[in-house]
This record gives sequence, C-alpha cells and structure tokens, in this order.
Amino acid sequence: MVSTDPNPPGHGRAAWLAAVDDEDQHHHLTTVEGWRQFVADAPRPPQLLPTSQWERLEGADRLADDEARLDYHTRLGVVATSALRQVVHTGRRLMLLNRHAISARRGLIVSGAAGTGKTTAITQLGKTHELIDRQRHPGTERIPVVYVTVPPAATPRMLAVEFARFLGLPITERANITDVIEAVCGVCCDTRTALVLVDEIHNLALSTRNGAEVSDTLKYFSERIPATFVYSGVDVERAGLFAGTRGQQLAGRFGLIGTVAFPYQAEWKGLVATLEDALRLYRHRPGTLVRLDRYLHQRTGGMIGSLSHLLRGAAIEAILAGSEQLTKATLEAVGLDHAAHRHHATTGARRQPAHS
Amino acid sequence: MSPRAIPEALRPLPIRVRPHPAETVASYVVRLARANHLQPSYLHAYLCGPPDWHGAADLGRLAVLCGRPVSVLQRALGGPTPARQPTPEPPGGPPRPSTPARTPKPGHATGLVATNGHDDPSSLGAGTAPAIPTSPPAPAWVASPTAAPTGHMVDRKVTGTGVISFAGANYSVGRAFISQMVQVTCTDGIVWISRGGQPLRAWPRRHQPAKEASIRPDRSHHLGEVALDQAQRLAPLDDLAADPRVVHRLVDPTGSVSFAGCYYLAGYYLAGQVVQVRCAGGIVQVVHGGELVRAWQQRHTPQQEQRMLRRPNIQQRTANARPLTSPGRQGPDRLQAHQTAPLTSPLAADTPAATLNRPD
Repeated sequence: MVSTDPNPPGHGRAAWLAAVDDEDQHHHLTTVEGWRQFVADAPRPPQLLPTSQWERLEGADRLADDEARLDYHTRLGVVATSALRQVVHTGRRLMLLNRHAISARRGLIVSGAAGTGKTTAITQLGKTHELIDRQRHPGTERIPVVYVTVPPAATPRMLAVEFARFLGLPITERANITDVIEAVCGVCCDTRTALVLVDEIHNLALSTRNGAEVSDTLKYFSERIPATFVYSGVDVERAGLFAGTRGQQLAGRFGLIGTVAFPYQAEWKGLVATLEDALRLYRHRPGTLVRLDRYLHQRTGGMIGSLSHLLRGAAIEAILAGSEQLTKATLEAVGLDHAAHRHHATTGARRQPAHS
Repeated sequence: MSPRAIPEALRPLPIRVRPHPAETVASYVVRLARANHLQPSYLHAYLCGPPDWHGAADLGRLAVLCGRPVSVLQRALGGPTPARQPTPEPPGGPPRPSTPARTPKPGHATGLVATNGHDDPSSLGAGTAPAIPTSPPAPAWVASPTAAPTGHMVDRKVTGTGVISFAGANYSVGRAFISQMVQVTCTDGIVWISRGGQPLRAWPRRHQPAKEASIRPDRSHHLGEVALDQAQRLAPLDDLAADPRVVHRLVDPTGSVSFAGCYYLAGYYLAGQVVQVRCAGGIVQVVHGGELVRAWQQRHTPQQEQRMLRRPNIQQRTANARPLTSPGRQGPDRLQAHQTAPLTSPLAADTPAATLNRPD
C-alpha cells in the first residue's frame, strides 16, 4: 500500500485547502451547481510517502499530509455493486427506449431499505448520463440531469419549487405554481434534460390529497419534459405508492429495482476487499478487513451505507490518533446508525445461546 | 416567516443570454426573462430586490443572475445612468398620502425601468432620497417635449386603480394620476408614459409587439388637444378671476362640456362637477379647482362665442346632468333670486354656478 514515488507535501496541502474551500460553498446535489460539481468530482487517492520519509515529516508538512488523507477518507469513492450496475444499466436502457417516445415514457423506481445504496445508485446513473452527454455535446450549457428530492408533507407547489431551485430559477412568494411549472418545463426542454431523478419518493403518500396532487404534478412533469423519470425511496411498494388508480398507473409504467442488504456471500467479501484497497493508511496491514468480513457483516447488517460509514470513520480515527491502521478495536470504537446497532444486537443475542 | 424576509442566495439563471452592444437594461432583462421562461415583470421585480421589489433593476443582482461581471454589464449596457430625479407634483393636486407598508401589486408594480420619473407617487410626499438608477436614460423626446417621439404616441386616461391600458396590457402610472390623461408610446421595447412632456414612468414591454399596429390613434390629437404647459404658457391663468370670458359648465356624464356650440372633453372623472371654461388665444381651457385640467384648440367660431358670452351660462339650461352635490329641489323664490343675481366674477361666488343657474 506504500507508494514508491514520493509526493511533495505541498500538493496534499493544496488539495486539502481546495477541499475546505469547496466545503464553504455548501454545494448540494439539489442545485445544478452542486450537481455539476458532483459530476466533475473525481477525487484522486493521495499518494502515500515512503514510511521513512513520512516519519520524518514534521509541523505543517505532517499536518498537510494528514489533512489530505482525512479529506480523501471522508469520501472514499463509490463501489460498483451489483445493484448499482443494475440501476445504471436499466436506467440507460430506458433512456434509449424513451428517446423517441412522445408520451407514456417508461420510468424506473429504486426501492429498498435505508442504507442500501439507492441514492448512490441513481446519482451514479445521473453522473454516467451527464458525462456521456458532455462528451457528445462539449461546450454547451445543457442540463441533461435534474435531481430533486420530495420534501416531507409536499404540495405540488413545493415540488415545482424544488425543480426550480435545482435549475436556479428565482422563486419568490408571488410566484404561482403555474408560472413555476411553465418555467421549469420550458428550461428543461431548452436545456435538453433527459433524466429526472426524484429522490425520497416515500414522502409521497397517495392516500392523502396533497400526495395525490404531487403525484399528478410529477405525472404532468413527465408529460411535459421529454425525459426518463427515476424515483427512489424507502420501501415504496409497501408505502402504498402502487395503490389506487394513480398507483396502478405508476405500476404500469415504472419498473422496480429493489436494493437489499448484502448477504454474507462472495460479493460482500469483494466489497470489503475493495474498500480496504481504497484506504490510505501508513501502517495498515492489507487483508485485515477481509479477515474481519464476517464481523463487519454482523456489525453493519450487510448495509453498504453502514459499512462505508464504519470504515471511513475508523480510518479517520486512525489518522487522528496516529495509529494508521484498522483493527477490530478501532472498528468497535466507531458508532453506527441505530438500525445497524439493533441488527448487531439481534444477531449477537441469537448467537449467544448457540455458544453457551 | 415570509420567504421574502429570508436572506436569499442569488444564483445564476439556467440559461445565459449575451447582452447586445449598447442594449438597454430593460431590453436585456426582458430577453433574459424570456430565455428562462419567466415573466419579464417577475424577473425585473426580483432584480429590484427587497424590500420594495420594484424600482430600478439592481445591476449587482443582474450580474449574478446572468453570470457576468458587473463591469461587463456596465460596458455592454451603456453603464449607469444619472441619478433619478423626482418629478414635480401632478397637476391634479398633491398625491395621496402613502401607506407605510405598501406591497407592490403583482401586475403593476413590477418591471419598472424608468428612473427619470418617480417609482411611487407616494414617494413625492414622503420626500425619500432618490435612488441610484441603473436603467437607461429616457429618450430625447421625454427630456425635451418638443422633440418628436420615435414611437406611436397615444393618449390614455389613468383608471381608478392608477393603471392605463396599452396594446392589450396594463401599465401602472400611479394612483396620484388617477383620471388624468397621459401620453404613452413604446420604443425599443420600453413603454414610456409621460404627461405634458413630463416623464412619469417607463416599463419593459409586456404586450405583444404585433398589437401595437392595431392601436387606433387617440382622437384627442385630431380634435386638437393642447399640452397643458403650452396652454398655460400661451394663456396664463393668473387673470382668470377677473376674466369676463370665463363661464361655468357642468360636466356631462360623458366627461364633456358644451362651450359655444361645441363640446370639449373635460375628463370622465369630472362628470357631474362644475368646471370653468374660457377661450383665450384660440385655446379653450378647462379649469377645475384652480388647476388647468384640459386645453383644446378652439373649434367654435367667434360668432358662436360672442353669442354665448351674451348669455354666458345659458348652455347650462340644456345640460342633462345635475350636479352630484346639489340639493334635491329648490324653492322657486330662491331659484328666482339666483337667476336674477348678476354674476360678475364667477370665482368670487362660493356657490357653484350650476346650482345658481339650475333650470326648473
């Protein structure tokens, strides 16, 4: 894991400062600027210095090296899991099928439990499409992908404002929903929007009047904007998204891809190995995490989100503490989300009688 | 909390528009709004910013929204214009007192681009400091009323809500000018509103350009209406009290008065009220409350005027309208006394002349 070619310490410091500056801008995926930054963002893993040179670093150089690696471990990249590949491939296929459709475009719904990588999957689909679109149409100010989230207790106007906010259209209280929808549809058509990602679709309750109206608004957007719509939400089929007349219409036009927790199989081991390879710690012994794959599965419940959080947190802790390696003790020190903690407690209790 | 009170983060519009050389701010805002599928008036109000959301567009906000530096916009759009000067009081009297928390009306108080006139009539009375405008200067005909306007100018009467209709769209003039006649023209995508050569307001065009061709020219010009300042210059009102040619007329429901056998428009808002009319220097002046409200070129003949002056208020006998403020029925004795009383100085009489000369 130790690189042989030395890297000037100033490079890492500059990257860290640039990362801090970017954080000050508070970019979000739900704005076109933040989305473009997300698409253009391709973090390069920092090169590790030879151990002897790293041990001689002092003061600002040591701080710069640590900060560069800290910033890298806050993101740690995206692993192409089977679910992610399925979403990307299915999404791209639907976009091609909808290319010449004038109505009744097909869509995709990504459903699953929290922490199974739904948002990562659909954002990677959007990133893939936008990168392809940029290659085909360089130098043009197109907005090929729109990413919005359904706000809680959403009304049609709130959803329309979310679209407008992503695009950067100025919205004040005097703007009515008709004006907002007209502006959104007009801009999306002019900027050749081909993919609309709607996250947190579980906030849409078709049993309520507002939820039904929001669903109708989404349907209207899909009719006006020649784009493929991809929804993502937590267990939407159980939340009643496909119930009733509107639900039947959705079920007839949208395919469903479920994201579930990883079983303790070969893919899980490969996922752990990939994440371990991505770590940039000076004293970490390769293969440590692979040997702890069962513990990691029990600890995270097979949730990729929890696993990523656990490894990133442990790596950051190792850098801050100076241990520069991940062990089971380091992993134990990192707290996880309540769902993973509950799963870990359940499986631990289940195993306890077997051992006793 | 109102969204307007939240400090907003300005972001560039999704579709960029390149400014044309020497383009006006208003024209650029209109093109920018239409490219982004926004109402030009809405975008202009957004560019004006809080707290009033109307007035002159802020160049700094425009620079953020269009994604270009302020210096580039100043160079491309002709740079800043001189500070806006408040206009004098309208001839109809001092403006109404302003309401403290007045919110702009969506359709009217947005999109204002004129800076030569005041933004809000209430600001005249409030004495607020003039703002630094960023909109283009008014055309030459506004600065100099003698210069001919390049566009097609028509007269419009300001409605009771302070707006005028022009080419199918409403444009706000201000409540201070309710029932006043103003002149309107549209040049370079801007609707200019003036009164007697004095610029009042200017708005980015909201109507379809094709509708301008269908505007029928106001008949007032063909009937010979004279600008008020010109009429006052040619025939000052200083000697009005002592002028024996002054007669009193009751404005009929159509807003006109009969004078020497011809009808002259006084204004719909004066219907049922008594005005003073005189003909001096070939100009028929209509005066109300000591203020000149309309002036027309003389259409009657001198013989008609001489006949009328022999019985100065005889025309009122044929008037088909009663004064709105008159009492119901008057006794024959009082009426007789009024008919026999000489009226040497009309302005000296406190009682309206129409009441004095009411027929049975």
